[in-house]
Amino acid sequence: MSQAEYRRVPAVERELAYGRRLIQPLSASTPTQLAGSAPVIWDLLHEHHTVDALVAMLQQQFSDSPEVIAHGVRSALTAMTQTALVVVS
Amino acid sequence: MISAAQIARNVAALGFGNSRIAPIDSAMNDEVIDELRTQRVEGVAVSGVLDGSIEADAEFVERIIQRHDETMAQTLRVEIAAVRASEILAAAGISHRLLKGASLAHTIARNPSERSFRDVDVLVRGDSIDGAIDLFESKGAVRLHRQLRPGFDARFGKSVTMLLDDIEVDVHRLLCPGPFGVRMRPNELFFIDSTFELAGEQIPTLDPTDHLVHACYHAALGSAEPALVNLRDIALLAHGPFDEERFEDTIDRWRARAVIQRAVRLVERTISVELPEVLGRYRYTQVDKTERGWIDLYTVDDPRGRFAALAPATFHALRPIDRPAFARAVGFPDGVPPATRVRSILYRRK
Repeated sequence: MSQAEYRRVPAVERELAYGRRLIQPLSASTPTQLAGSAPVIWDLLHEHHTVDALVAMLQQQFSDSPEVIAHGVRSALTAMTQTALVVVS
Repeated sequence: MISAAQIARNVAALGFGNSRIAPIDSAMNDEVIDELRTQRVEGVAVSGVLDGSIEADAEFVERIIQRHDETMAQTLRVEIAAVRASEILAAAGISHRLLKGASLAHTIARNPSERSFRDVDVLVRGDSIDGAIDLFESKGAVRLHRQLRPGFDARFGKSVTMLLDDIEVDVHRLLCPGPFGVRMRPNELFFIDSTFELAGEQIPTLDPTDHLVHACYHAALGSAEPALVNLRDIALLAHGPFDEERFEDTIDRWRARAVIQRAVRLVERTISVELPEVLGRYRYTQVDKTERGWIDLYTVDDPRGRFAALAPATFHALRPIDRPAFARAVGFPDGVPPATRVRSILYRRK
Protein backbone atom coordinates (compact mmCIF):
# COMPACT_ATOMS: atom_id res chain seq x y z
CA MET A 1 0.00 0.00 0.00
CA SER A 2 1.36 3.43 -0.89
CA GLN A 3 2.01 5.92 1.88
CA ALA A 4 0.02 9.13 2.26
CA GLU A 5 1.64 12.17 0.70
CA TYR A 6 1.59 15.60 2.29
CA ARG A 7 1.77 19.00 0.66
CA ARG A 8 1.34 22.51 1.98
CA VAL A 9 -1.61 24.67 0.92
CA PRO A 10 -1.18 28.09 -0.75
CA ALA A 11 -0.23 30.49 2.04
CA VAL A 12 1.59 33.66 2.89
CA GLU A 13 4.34 33.54 5.47
CA ARG A 14 6.95 35.48 7.40
CA GLU A 15 10.05 34.53 9.31
CA LEU A 16 9.92 35.55 12.94
CA ALA A 17 12.74 35.87 15.45
CA TYR A 18 14.44 32.72 16.77
CA GLY A 19 13.67 30.58 13.73
CA ARG A 20 9.91 30.74 14.13
CA ARG A 21 7.61 31.05 11.12
CA LEU A 22 4.20 32.69 10.85
CA ILE A 23 2.00 31.13 8.18
CA GLN A 24 -1.49 31.99 7.03
CA PRO A 25 -3.21 29.92 4.33
CA LEU A 26 -5.13 32.05 1.84
CA SER A 27 -8.36 30.52 3.07
CA ALA A 28 -7.65 31.03 6.80
CA SER A 29 -8.62 33.96 8.96
CA THR A 30 -5.75 33.66 11.43
CA PRO A 31 -2.09 32.70 11.13
CA THR A 32 -0.36 29.71 12.68
CA GLN A 33 3.08 29.89 14.24
CA LEU A 34 5.61 27.14 13.62
CA ALA A 35 8.71 26.64 15.74
CA GLY A 36 11.53 24.13 16.22
CA SER A 37 11.96 21.87 13.20
CA ALA A 38 8.43 22.52 11.87
CA PRO A 39 9.54 25.43 9.59
CA VAL A 40 12.09 23.09 7.97
CA ILE A 41 9.37 20.51 7.32
CA TRP A 42 7.08 23.25 5.99
CA ASP A 43 9.79 24.28 3.51
CA LEU A 44 10.17 20.72 2.27
CA LEU A 45 6.43 20.44 1.72
CA HIS A 46 6.44 22.76 -1.28
CA GLU A 47 6.35 19.39 -3.06
CA HIS A 48 4.37 16.26 -2.21
CA HIS A 49 6.28 14.02 0.22
CA THR A 50 5.61 10.91 2.24
CA VAL A 51 6.67 10.65 5.88
CA ASP A 52 9.51 8.33 4.88
CA ALA A 53 10.77 10.76 2.25
CA LEU A 54 10.67 13.63 4.74
CA VAL A 55 12.56 11.58 7.33
CA ALA A 56 15.21 10.67 4.77
CA MET A 57 15.71 14.30 3.80
CA LEU A 58 15.84 15.51 7.40
CA GLN A 59 18.39 12.82 8.31
CA GLN A 60 20.81 14.66 6.05
CA GLN A 61 20.32 17.85 8.08
CA PHE A 62 19.98 16.60 11.66
CA SER A 63 22.07 14.14 13.64
CA ASP A 64 19.13 12.61 15.57
CA SER A 65 18.22 8.96 15.09
CA PRO A 66 15.70 8.08 12.34
CA GLU A 67 13.17 7.14 15.04
CA VAL A 68 13.43 10.53 16.74
CA ILE A 69 13.17 12.34 13.42
CA ALA A 70 10.19 10.21 12.33
CA HIS A 71 8.43 10.98 15.62
CA GLY A 72 9.04 14.70 15.13
CA VAL A 73 7.84 14.60 11.52
CA ARG A 74 4.61 12.77 12.45
CA SER A 75 3.90 15.22 15.28
CA ALA A 76 4.52 18.22 13.03
CA LEU A 77 2.37 16.80 10.22
CA THR A 78 -0.47 16.07 12.63
CA ALA A 79 -0.37 19.64 13.92
CA MET A 80 -0.13 21.09 10.39
CA THR A 81 -3.02 18.95 9.19
CA GLN A 82 -5.18 20.03 12.11
CA THR A 83 -4.49 23.68 11.38
CA ALA A 84 -5.11 23.12 7.64
CA LEU A 85 -1.58 24.11 6.65
CA VAL A 86 -1.08 20.87 4.74
CA VAL A 87 -3.30 18.51 2.77
CA VAL A 88 -2.95 14.76 2.56
CA SER A 89 -3.37 12.85 -0.68
CA MET B 1 20.95 61.63 25.30
CA ILE B 2 19.95 60.41 21.86
CA SER B 3 16.21 60.80 21.24
CA ALA B 4 13.77 58.04 20.29
CA ALA B 5 13.23 59.80 16.95
CA GLN B 6 16.97 59.76 16.24
CA ILE B 7 17.23 56.08 17.21
CA ALA B 8 14.43 55.29 14.73
CA ARG B 9 16.24 57.28 12.03
CA ASN B 10 19.44 55.32 12.73
CA VAL B 11 17.49 52.06 12.55
CA ALA B 12 15.99 53.09 9.20
CA ALA B 13 19.53 53.54 7.88
CA LEU B 14 20.83 50.16 9.09
CA GLY B 15 22.77 48.40 6.36
CA PHE B 16 23.82 51.63 4.66
CA GLY B 17 27.21 52.26 6.16
CA ASN B 18 26.17 52.45 9.80
CA SER B 19 26.43 48.92 11.12
CA ARG B 20 25.93 49.67 14.81
CA ILE B 21 23.60 51.84 16.86
CA ALA B 22 24.42 53.34 20.25
CA PRO B 23 22.99 51.26 23.13
CA ILE B 24 19.36 52.05 23.86
CA ASP B 25 18.78 53.48 27.34
CA SER B 26 16.39 51.19 29.26
CA ALA B 27 14.41 54.19 30.49
CA MET B 28 13.47 54.93 26.87
CA ASN B 29 12.29 51.45 25.90
CA ASP B 30 8.59 52.40 25.63
CA GLU B 31 9.27 55.55 23.67
CA VAL B 32 11.68 53.88 21.26
CA ILE B 33 9.41 50.91 20.60
CA ASP B 34 6.46 53.23 19.91
CA GLU B 35 8.55 55.34 17.53
CA LEU B 36 9.88 52.29 15.67
CA ARG B 37 6.33 51.08 15.19
CA THR B 38 5.02 54.50 14.10
CA GLN B 39 7.81 54.75 11.55
CA ARG B 40 7.26 51.11 10.50
CA VAL B 41 10.89 50.09 10.95
CA GLU B 42 10.39 47.68 13.84
CA GLY B 43 11.24 44.75 11.52
CA VAL B 44 14.62 46.31 10.79
CA ALA B 45 15.07 46.83 14.54
CA VAL B 46 14.35 43.14 15.21
CA SER B 47 17.01 42.17 12.66
CA GLY B 48 19.33 44.63 14.40
CA VAL B 49 18.88 43.21 17.89
CA LEU B 50 19.31 39.66 16.59
CA ASP B 51 22.51 40.36 14.63
CA GLY B 52 23.99 42.55 17.36
CA SER B 53 23.92 45.87 15.54
CA ILE B 54 21.48 47.21 18.14
CA GLU B 55 22.34 46.90 21.83
CA ALA B 56 19.38 46.90 24.18
CA ASP B 57 18.28 45.22 27.40
CA ALA B 58 16.36 41.92 27.56
CA GLU B 59 13.05 43.69 28.16
CA PHE B 60 13.45 45.75 24.98
CA VAL B 61 14.35 42.68 22.94
CA GLU B 62 11.39 40.71 24.25
CA ARG B 63 8.93 43.53 23.66
CA ILE B 64 10.09 44.56 20.20
CA ILE B 65 9.92 40.92 19.09
CA GLN B 66 6.41 40.57 20.52
CA ARG B 67 5.29 43.78 18.77
CA HIS B 68 6.86 42.61 15.54
CA ASP B 69 5.05 39.25 15.79
CA GLU B 70 1.76 41.18 16.06
CA THR B 71 2.64 43.44 13.15
CA MET B 72 3.54 40.47 10.97
CA ALA B 73 0.19 38.81 11.77
CA GLN B 74 -1.59 41.95 10.56
CA THR B 75 0.72 42.22 7.54
CA LEU B 76 -0.18 38.68 6.46
CA ARG B 77 -3.89 39.59 6.52
CA VAL B 78 -3.15 42.50 4.22
CA GLU B 79 -0.98 40.32 2.01
CA ILE B 80 -3.81 37.84 1.53
CA ALA B 81 -6.02 40.75 0.45
CA ALA B 82 -3.29 41.72 -2.04
CA VAL B 83 -3.27 38.21 -3.51
CA ARG B 84 -7.06 38.25 -3.71
CA ALA B 85 -7.18 41.69 -5.34
CA SER B 86 -4.66 40.59 -7.95
CA GLU B 87 -6.56 37.34 -8.60
CA ILE B 88 -9.84 39.24 -9.05
CA LEU B 89 -8.31 41.62 -11.58
CA ALA B 90 -6.38 38.90 -13.42
CA ALA B 91 -9.46 36.67 -13.71
CA ALA B 92 -11.28 39.54 -15.41
CA GLY B 93 -8.34 40.24 -17.71
CA ILE B 94 -7.64 43.67 -16.17
CA SER B 95 -3.98 44.55 -16.50
CA HIS B 96 -2.61 45.74 -13.15
CA ARG B 97 0.50 46.29 -11.02
CA LEU B 98 0.74 45.75 -7.28
CA LEU B 99 2.47 48.79 -5.75
CA LYS B 100 4.55 49.42 -2.61
CA GLY B 101 3.84 47.20 0.45
CA ALA B 102 3.86 43.53 -0.44
CA SER B 103 5.78 44.16 -3.67
CA LEU B 104 8.64 45.95 -1.95
CA ALA B 105 8.67 43.47 0.95
CA HIS B 106 9.28 40.63 -1.50
CA THR B 107 11.50 42.34 -4.04
CA ILE B 108 13.78 44.86 -2.32
CA ALA B 109 13.68 44.39 1.48
CA ARG B 110 16.60 42.43 2.93
CA ASN B 111 13.96 40.11 4.33
CA PRO B 112 10.17 40.43 3.86
CA SER B 113 9.81 40.46 7.65
CA GLU B 114 11.56 43.84 7.73
CA ARG B 115 8.87 45.54 5.63
CA SER B 116 5.38 45.81 7.10
CA PHE B 117 2.41 47.43 5.37
CA ARG B 118 -1.15 48.33 6.23
CA ASP B 119 -3.02 48.41 2.96
CA VAL B 120 -3.04 47.20 -0.62
CA ASP B 121 -2.17 49.53 -3.50
CA VAL B 122 -2.88 48.36 -7.00
CA LEU B 123 -2.43 50.32 -10.23
CA VAL B 124 -4.76 49.90 -13.21
CA ARG B 125 -4.94 51.79 -16.48
CA GLY B 126 -7.19 54.85 -16.49
CA ASP B 127 -9.59 53.27 -18.94
CA SER B 128 -9.90 50.20 -16.65
CA ILE B 129 -10.55 51.90 -13.34
CA ASP B 130 -14.35 52.05 -13.57
CA GLY B 131 -14.44 48.36 -14.54
CA ALA B 132 -12.06 47.49 -11.71
CA ILE B 133 -14.21 49.33 -9.15
CA ASP B 134 -17.39 47.61 -10.40
CA LEU B 135 -15.60 44.28 -10.26
CA PHE B 136 -14.39 44.76 -6.69
CA GLU B 137 -17.89 45.85 -5.65
CA SER B 138 -19.30 42.68 -7.21
CA LYS B 139 -16.88 40.72 -4.99
CA GLY B 140 -18.15 42.43 -1.85
CA ALA B 141 -15.75 45.38 -1.63
CA VAL B 142 -17.14 48.70 -0.46
CA ARG B 143 -16.12 52.05 -1.84
CA LEU B 144 -15.24 54.50 1.00
CA HIS B 145 -15.85 57.79 -0.84
CA ARG B 146 -18.21 58.30 -3.70
CA GLN B 147 -17.08 59.69 -7.03
CA LEU B 148 -17.45 63.48 -7.30
CA ARG B 149 -19.21 63.13 -10.66
CA PRO B 150 -19.57 60.24 -13.11
CA GLY B 151 -16.32 59.80 -15.02
CA PHE B 152 -14.19 61.73 -12.49
CA ASP B 153 -12.16 58.67 -11.35
CA ALA B 154 -11.11 57.70 -14.86
CA ARG B 155 -10.38 61.24 -16.01
CA PHE B 156 -9.00 63.09 -12.97
CA GLY B 157 -8.80 60.79 -9.94
CA LYS B 158 -5.60 59.50 -8.38
CA SER B 159 -7.13 56.44 -6.71
CA VAL B 160 -10.30 54.97 -5.28
CA THR B 161 -10.19 53.60 -1.76
CA MET B 162 -12.19 50.45 -1.09
CA LEU B 163 -12.58 47.96 1.75
CA LEU B 164 -12.09 44.35 0.67
CA ASP B 165 -12.44 41.79 3.47
CA ASP B 166 -12.01 44.71 5.92
CA ILE B 167 -8.65 45.57 4.37
CA GLU B 168 -8.12 48.92 2.66
CA VAL B 169 -7.45 48.52 -1.06
CA ASP B 170 -6.45 51.62 -3.01
CA VAL B 171 -7.12 51.22 -6.71
CA HIS B 172 -4.78 53.69 -8.39
CA ARG B 173 -4.90 55.36 -11.76
CA LEU B 174 -1.98 57.66 -10.89
CA LEU B 175 0.94 57.58 -8.47
CA CYS B 176 0.01 60.92 -6.94
CA PRO B 177 -2.81 63.47 -7.01
CA GLY B 178 -2.58 67.10 -8.09
CA PRO B 179 -0.45 68.78 -10.74
CA PHE B 180 2.37 66.25 -10.66
CA GLY B 181 -0.24 63.55 -11.20
CA VAL B 182 -1.50 65.43 -14.26
CA ARG B 183 2.04 65.53 -15.63
CA MET B 184 2.78 61.83 -15.29
CA ARG B 185 2.06 59.25 -18.00
CA PRO B 186 0.76 56.30 -16.01
CA ASN B 187 0.32 53.94 -18.95
CA GLU B 188 4.12 53.87 -19.28
CA LEU B 189 4.13 51.89 -16.03
CA PHE B 190 2.60 49.02 -18.01
CA PHE B 191 5.37 48.87 -20.63
CA ILE B 192 7.55 46.46 -18.64
CA ASP B 193 6.20 43.20 -17.26
CA SER B 194 7.58 42.32 -13.85
CA THR B 195 6.26 39.81 -11.33
CA PHE B 196 7.04 38.33 -7.94
CA GLU B 197 5.79 35.10 -6.41
CA LEU B 198 3.31 35.14 -3.58
CA ALA B 199 1.49 32.06 -2.29
CA GLY B 200 2.37 30.25 -5.51
CA GLU B 201 0.94 33.01 -7.72
CA GLN B 202 2.88 35.33 -10.02
CA ILE B 203 1.79 38.82 -8.99
CA PRO B 204 2.34 41.66 -11.51
CA THR B 205 4.28 44.61 -10.14
CA LEU B 206 6.54 47.46 -11.25
CA ASP B 207 10.13 46.85 -12.20
CA PRO B 208 12.80 48.33 -9.85
CA THR B 209 13.16 51.54 -11.90
CA ASP B 210 9.44 52.31 -11.77
CA HIS B 211 9.33 51.26 -8.10
CA LEU B 212 12.06 53.85 -7.45
CA VAL B 213 10.09 56.53 -9.29
CA HIS B 214 7.00 55.67 -7.26
CA ALA B 215 8.90 55.53 -3.95
CA CYS B 216 10.23 59.04 -4.62
CA TYR B 217 6.75 60.35 -5.49
CA HIS B 218 5.25 58.76 -2.39
CA ALA B 219 7.88 60.09 0.00
CA ALA B 220 8.02 63.56 -1.55
CA LEU B 221 4.31 64.15 -2.12
CA GLY B 222 2.53 61.84 0.32
CA SER B 223 2.84 63.93 3.48
CA ALA B 224 4.87 66.60 5.22
CA GLU B 225 6.89 64.02 7.11
CA PRO B 226 6.94 60.63 5.42
CA ALA B 227 7.34 57.53 7.56
CA LEU B 228 10.94 56.35 7.77
CA VAL B 229 10.04 53.08 6.06
CA ASN B 230 9.30 55.08 2.90
CA LEU B 231 12.71 56.75 3.00
CA ARG B 232 14.37 53.37 3.55
CA ASP B 233 12.50 52.09 0.47
CA ILE B 234 14.17 54.80 -1.62
CA ALA B 235 17.59 53.99 -0.17
CA LEU B 236 17.15 50.26 -0.86
CA LEU B 237 15.91 50.82 -4.41
CA ALA B 238 18.55 53.44 -5.22
CA HIS B 239 21.35 51.15 -4.07
CA GLY B 240 19.94 48.19 -5.97
CA PRO B 241 19.98 47.53 -9.70
CA PHE B 242 17.84 49.90 -11.77
CA ASP B 243 17.93 51.51 -15.19
CA GLU B 244 19.52 54.93 -14.54
CA GLU B 245 18.90 56.19 -18.05
CA ARG B 246 15.23 55.28 -18.01
CA PHE B 247 14.84 56.79 -14.53
CA GLU B 248 16.22 60.14 -15.69
CA ASP B 249 14.24 59.98 -18.90
CA THR B 250 10.99 59.35 -17.00
CA ILE B 251 11.65 62.20 -14.58
CA ASP B 252 12.40 64.59 -17.46
CA ARG B 253 9.33 63.62 -19.47
CA TRP B 254 7.06 63.73 -16.41
CA ARG B 255 8.66 67.06 -15.45
CA ALA B 256 9.20 65.79 -11.92
CA ARG B 257 12.65 67.07 -10.98
CA ALA B 258 11.18 68.95 -8.03
CA VAL B 259 9.66 65.70 -6.77
CA ILE B 260 12.95 63.82 -6.92
CA GLN B 261 14.77 66.76 -5.37
CA ARG B 262 12.49 66.69 -2.32
CA ALA B 263 12.74 62.89 -2.05
CA VAL B 264 16.55 62.95 -2.22
CA ARG B 265 16.79 65.73 0.34
CA LEU B 266 14.40 63.91 2.69
CA VAL B 267 16.45 60.71 2.54
CA GLU B 268 19.78 62.45 3.00
CA ARG B 269 18.66 64.83 5.74
CA THR B 270 16.45 62.44 7.67
CA ILE B 271 18.22 59.09 7.62
CA SER B 272 21.63 60.35 6.43
CA VAL B 273 21.96 57.78 3.67
CA GLU B 274 24.01 58.99 0.74
CA LEU B 275 22.34 58.16 -2.55
CA PRO B 276 24.06 57.23 -5.83
CA GLU B 277 25.02 60.18 -8.02
CA VAL B 278 22.20 59.57 -10.49
CA LEU B 279 19.83 60.62 -7.70
CA GLY B 280 22.24 62.81 -5.77
CA ARG B 281 22.52 65.22 -8.69
CA TYR B 282 18.85 66.19 -8.20
CA ARG B 283 19.83 67.66 -4.82
CA TYR B 284 20.64 71.04 -6.35
CA THR B 285 18.72 70.76 -9.60
CA GLN B 286 17.04 73.90 -10.92
CA VAL B 287 13.37 73.94 -9.88
CA ASP B 288 11.05 76.75 -10.92
CA LYS B 289 9.00 78.80 -8.48
CA THR B 290 5.68 77.29 -9.52
CA GLU B 291 6.87 73.75 -8.86
CA ARG B 292 8.31 74.73 -5.48
CA GLY B 293 4.89 76.16 -4.66
CA TRP B 294 3.23 72.93 -5.74
CA ILE B 295 5.48 70.88 -3.48
CA ASP B 296 4.31 72.97 -0.50
CA LEU B 297 0.69 72.16 -1.35
CA TYR B 298 1.38 68.43 -1.04
CA THR B 299 2.70 68.81 2.48
CA VAL B 300 -0.68 69.77 3.95
CA ASP B 301 -1.29 66.75 6.17
CA ASP B 302 -5.09 66.93 6.55
CA PRO B 303 -6.40 64.97 3.50
CA ARG B 304 -9.41 67.28 2.94
CA GLY B 305 -7.29 70.40 3.27
CA ARG B 306 -4.77 68.87 0.93
CA PHE B 307 -7.37 68.16 -1.74
CA ALA B 308 -8.64 71.71 -1.48
CA ALA B 309 -5.11 73.09 -1.64
CA LEU B 310 -4.21 71.01 -4.70
CA ALA B 311 -7.41 71.65 -6.66
CA PRO B 312 -6.46 75.09 -8.08
CA ALA B 313 -2.96 73.86 -9.06
CA THR B 314 -4.48 70.77 -10.65
CA PHE B 315 -6.88 72.97 -12.61
CA HIS B 316 -4.00 75.00 -14.04
CA ALA B 317 -1.93 71.90 -14.87
CA LEU B 318 -4.79 70.35 -16.85
CA ARG B 319 -5.28 70.89 -20.58
CA PRO B 320 -7.74 73.75 -21.17
CA ILE B 321 -10.23 71.32 -22.65
CA ASP B 322 -10.34 69.32 -19.38
CA ARG B 323 -10.65 72.27 -17.03
CA PRO B 324 -14.43 72.91 -17.17
CA ALA B 325 -15.28 69.28 -16.28
CA PHE B 326 -12.75 69.28 -13.44
CA ALA B 327 -14.02 72.59 -12.07
CA ARG B 328 -17.64 71.42 -12.28
CA ALA B 329 -16.87 68.16 -10.45
CA VAL B 330 -14.81 69.78 -7.69
CA GLY B 331 -17.00 72.87 -7.33
CA PHE B 332 -20.37 71.19 -7.61
CA PRO B 333 -20.10 67.46 -6.91
CA ASP B 334 -23.10 65.17 -7.38
CA GLY B 335 -25.34 64.86 -4.36
CA VAL B 336 -24.45 68.25 -2.86
CA PRO B 337 -27.00 71.04 -3.47
CA PRO B 338 -25.29 74.01 -5.19
CA ALA B 339 -26.37 76.41 -2.42
CA THR B 340 -24.74 74.22 0.22
CA ARG B 341 -21.58 74.00 -1.83
CA VAL B 342 -21.39 77.79 -2.30
CA ARG B 343 -21.88 78.32 1.45
CA SER B 344 -19.09 75.80 2.12
CA ILE B 345 -16.66 77.55 -0.24
CA LEU B 346 -17.48 80.98 1.23
CA TYR B 347 -17.07 79.63 4.76
CA ARG B 348 -13.64 78.17 3.89
CA ARG B 349 -12.46 81.54 2.61
CA LYS B 350 -13.26 83.36 5.85
